[in-house]
Amino acid sequence: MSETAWDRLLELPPFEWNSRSSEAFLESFRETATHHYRNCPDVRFFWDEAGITPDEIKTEEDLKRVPPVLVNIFKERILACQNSGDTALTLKSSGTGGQHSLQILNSQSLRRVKELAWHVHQALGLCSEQEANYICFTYDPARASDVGTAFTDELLTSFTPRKEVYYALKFDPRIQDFYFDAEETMAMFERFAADRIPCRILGFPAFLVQLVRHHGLNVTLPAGSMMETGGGFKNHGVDAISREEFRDLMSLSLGIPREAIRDLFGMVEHGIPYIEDEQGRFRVPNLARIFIRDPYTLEALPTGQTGLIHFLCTYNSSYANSSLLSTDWGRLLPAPDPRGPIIEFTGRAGVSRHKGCALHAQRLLRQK
Amino acid sequence: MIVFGQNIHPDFEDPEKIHAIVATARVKSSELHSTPIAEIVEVLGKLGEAWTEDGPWFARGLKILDSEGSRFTPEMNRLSLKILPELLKPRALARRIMAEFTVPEMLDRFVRRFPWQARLRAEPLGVLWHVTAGNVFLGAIDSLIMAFLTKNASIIKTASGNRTFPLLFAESLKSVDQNGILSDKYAILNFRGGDERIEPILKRSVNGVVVWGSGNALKGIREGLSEGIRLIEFGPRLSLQVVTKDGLESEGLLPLSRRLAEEICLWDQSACASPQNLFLQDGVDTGTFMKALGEALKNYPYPRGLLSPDEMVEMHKESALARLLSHQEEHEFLQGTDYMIHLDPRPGIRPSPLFRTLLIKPFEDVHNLAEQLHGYGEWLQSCSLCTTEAERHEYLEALAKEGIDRFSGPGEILKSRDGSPHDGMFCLTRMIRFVSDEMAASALQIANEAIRKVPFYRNLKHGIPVQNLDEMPLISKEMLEPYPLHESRELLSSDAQEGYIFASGGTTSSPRYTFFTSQEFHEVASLLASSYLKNGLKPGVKVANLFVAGSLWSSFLAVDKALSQCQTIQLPLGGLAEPAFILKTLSRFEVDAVFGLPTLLLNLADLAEIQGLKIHIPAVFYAGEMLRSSAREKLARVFGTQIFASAGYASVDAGPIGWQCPESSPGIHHLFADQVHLEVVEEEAVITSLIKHSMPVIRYRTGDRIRLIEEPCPCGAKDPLFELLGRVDDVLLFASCRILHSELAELMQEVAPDSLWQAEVHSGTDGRDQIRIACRTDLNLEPDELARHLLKHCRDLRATLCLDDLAPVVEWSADHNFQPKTNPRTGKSLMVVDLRLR
Repeated sequence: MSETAWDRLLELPPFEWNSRSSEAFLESFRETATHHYRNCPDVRFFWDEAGITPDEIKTEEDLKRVPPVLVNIFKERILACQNSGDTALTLKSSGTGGQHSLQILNSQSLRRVKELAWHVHQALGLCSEQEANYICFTYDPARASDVGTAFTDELLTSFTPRKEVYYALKFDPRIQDFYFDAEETMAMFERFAADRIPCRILGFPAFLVQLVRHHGLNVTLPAGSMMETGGGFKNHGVDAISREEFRDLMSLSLGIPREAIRDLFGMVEHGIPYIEDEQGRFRVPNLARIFIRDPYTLEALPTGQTGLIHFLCTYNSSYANSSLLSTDWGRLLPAPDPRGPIIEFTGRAGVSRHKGCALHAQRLLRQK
Repeated sequence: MIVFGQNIHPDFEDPEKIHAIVATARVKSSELHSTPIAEIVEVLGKLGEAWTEDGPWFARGLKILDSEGSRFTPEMNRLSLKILPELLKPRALARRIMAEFTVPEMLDRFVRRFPWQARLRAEPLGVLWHVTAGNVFLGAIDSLIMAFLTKNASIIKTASGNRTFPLLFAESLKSVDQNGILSDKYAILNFRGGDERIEPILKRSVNGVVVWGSGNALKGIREGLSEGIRLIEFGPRLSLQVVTKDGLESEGLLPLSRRLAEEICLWDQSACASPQNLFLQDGVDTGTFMKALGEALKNYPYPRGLLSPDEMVEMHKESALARLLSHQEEHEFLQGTDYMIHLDPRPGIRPSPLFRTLLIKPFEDVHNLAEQLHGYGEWLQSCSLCTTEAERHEYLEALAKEGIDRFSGPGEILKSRDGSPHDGMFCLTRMIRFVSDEMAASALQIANEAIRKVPFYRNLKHGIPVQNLDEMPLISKEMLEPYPLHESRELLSSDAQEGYIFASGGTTSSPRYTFFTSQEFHEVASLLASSYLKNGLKPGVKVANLFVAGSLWSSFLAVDKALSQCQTIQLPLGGLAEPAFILKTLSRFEVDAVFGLPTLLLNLADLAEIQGLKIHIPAVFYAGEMLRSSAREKLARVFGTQIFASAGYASVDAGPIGWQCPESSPGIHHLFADQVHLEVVEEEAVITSLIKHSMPVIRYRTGDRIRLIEEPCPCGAKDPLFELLGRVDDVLLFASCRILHSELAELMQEVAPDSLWQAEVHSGTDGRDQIRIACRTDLNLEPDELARHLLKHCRDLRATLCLDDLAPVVEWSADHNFQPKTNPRTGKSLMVVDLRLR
């Protein structure tokens, strides 16, 4: 297969922000967005409505003119591209109320998702040759292969050689739902703490808080252990906790250094991971673009202002997700170092009954 | 923050402070518990007057609403605030109470509610914690009003944006509530939903939680709520409009559009009764319909309020989807500066992002519509229904079955009637417990209550409660005479705040009156009703009330109320109507039963006989006089009457005392044992009413002679039997002898059966007592013969006088047109007229 614009973009270090990466992204965006425009009539509608075509996107400034496709369109419509070849993986978000976002990946896009995830983690120092044990606070993928968060966590266990992977949310066929087995998980912590290799902890943070606060979890995990949580800080549930408090609590209770405690923001529909650096700042890789949009006018806002987060990406040749307007609030902060800008996620927007996956997971806590 | 009448800011960090607030609320709730509902309604009524548009608070309140906590335009705020005085009108409050309790006094004490056979009391839960929806404080006020009406103390959580309006409201309540009846019975606290310092304490220690609005708030409250604490939840709900093809035609597109638009625009769809979906029947041209509706939305006089960024996001989502679908699937879509209409043909309901956004859903027919709503029942609330008259019934039935709780005509969906159920449930009754007293009341209780509350009895016993009823003296008419109601409240308790004054005998110069509260009178009617039903009166029968109305008499009114409770069809003729008119009416309507005084009924029978009228009256319910067997026979002959039932034995002062069952022979009564305590003192019935609190009747001498009957009644009723023997004072003193009225009656039954008669006593020229018996008969009696009869029947005469003494002072007067004199006050015919008194 000939080298594509995406391949050229991926060759660059993911946190290199310069004219080279800019040109590579713009080229890749034109290529992918044009493919989406031609093969997905729903997405073409929004481009046509805005009076612009993907080949007109020539500069970083032009990217602001890309029509944002609201995330509810992803839930109401299937934005699969015609002529995309095989279907390798179908992902759904763990949304409630019967609204599930689809992500259909052909083998090319699936490979790209995995590669880009590895690149981003590698660049943030989260990949290792050393074997590790895993405790995943997520749905057991053996029973939840179509749930996006489970796919993500399975992916996240691929950045080291795996020794043992434990999934804490078990499926109970009697209730036809997942449940959290706190006692068994406590035992796993004890066991992995006694092992000589590092332990990695992934998934919803609420369960960890429960273990520490209510089950007295207190171990010292082996050196090199780390934590990559996802999805849990966006709402105020039973054990709502600030990220700072969480880091302190986990560092104290598990013996993991604060800088090895990271949070991940991801959306099934978008597919690019936003991960905290060692100082707890979410990093934007050059594989994506983020604009903050005014909730009233949907105009792009200047750096520093809070609004709706608009995500652009270019890896997907099977699903038309090159432009996604989320219903999350956030703001962009100027790059503090050459690794590029910082994105702050400040909460979920909208008042409809749709809840994020974090709430779904927190419901499980209540059942047990 | 307002904490029980004070504007302070409690330290939420200190759990003791939260506990103290709840503890104070408990004290306040017990204070409210003993406040009469009438006083609560009065204070709220004054508050309502203070909040009218030209009152002292309206403008200030409006200014606050405009400046804080409201997203609505000033015009809309004015509209909202104008609802406050309406809510607080005493009549509106009374309607709400009546709708749920029937008898408002149930909130004050145990009362009877027909046909329930025991007494009920509405007992407040105690302390209610209100979690109100959104940022608008007006919603919280209605919740508070309901808590006041049910005598609960309140802790209200409001949103942080709302600080000034609650302060103003509290100030206004204080200003009209000089006695502090309500103004210190609630606390308004500002804290965040889910606050870990406050909510866990409240969840353990209040008695009920009232949650309005969002599903999130509800979920948060449910968790950790201690068992036994009542959760009173409302919403979130979705309402809709339904327009059929023929309904649209009969209403007319333009007027209908205006009404539908008003429902959508008012409060920008933020109420649970605001329609979010409009179901439009196939066959209507959607383009034309949407255009007309769009025009009406555009022309609504008040613009849309401000949207928060989050709400705006929802609008963008709907708009993006609508635009996409209108392009890809040709769904019609119309968007103006402050409204959006979107045809979404996917079956089923779907919440709209509100703010004047309407989703139009097509449906085929009522069955298809029901199918589309099926499964959404728990979310559905109101339906604004536009159908033809012919369609209406089917739609009501089908949609009610699918979960619609409330129907209104187009344009009325937000104008809920006072006292309407909310979300399919009455609200006030959820804030109380119904406590039933299924024990009979005791006379001793009544006596001690009277000693506490009624000056006359307090003075009798120097305010000291009695241990046994017989420590109370027997009360005679004469003892009460010095305190006629027009001059004195001596006989009244503090409960006597409203009700009826009735005449109860006495003379023109010194009349006697009695008092019943409406509730007591209602109970009187319930007793009559129960006795009628036991005597075979069936709902739906046609009855004529021939008792005499007016003149401060109770009988017509009591019978009227009782017959209404029995669900009969009434002809309220009254005893003063022209006899010919009465007869004509009875005949025209073919009545099943008449209710009246025997004298009147007999006069009617005479007239019917003379005129040769054939009128069938199957049943006669009489009262006020004995119905002699001769009279019975006459009525049977003239009217074909087969059922005779006494409407009961009653006194004006005490109400019903006894009732007759179909097995009872004349004079035999069952005691209303749960309502009347009966003693027999020297043959005289002495009664204590267990229902009269306002003007108690305690150990009251009725003047009626009775005999208790030990044997059980064949009818099976548990109420004991007694026989009415006549008046204790039914005695004529004649020539120093005692002639019992009953002795005269026996005499006449022998001499001239089935005749109208009357004895007149007067003073002769020589000063001697003379007696003349006038009778409607052809029979002539010489004085000797009459005297012989008198001696035969009257024991005392026989013992005292001989024939020669008696014959000169007796006289027989036979007159074919004789009319007995009647009591001008009661209309009853008199057995004896004593002309010596004049």
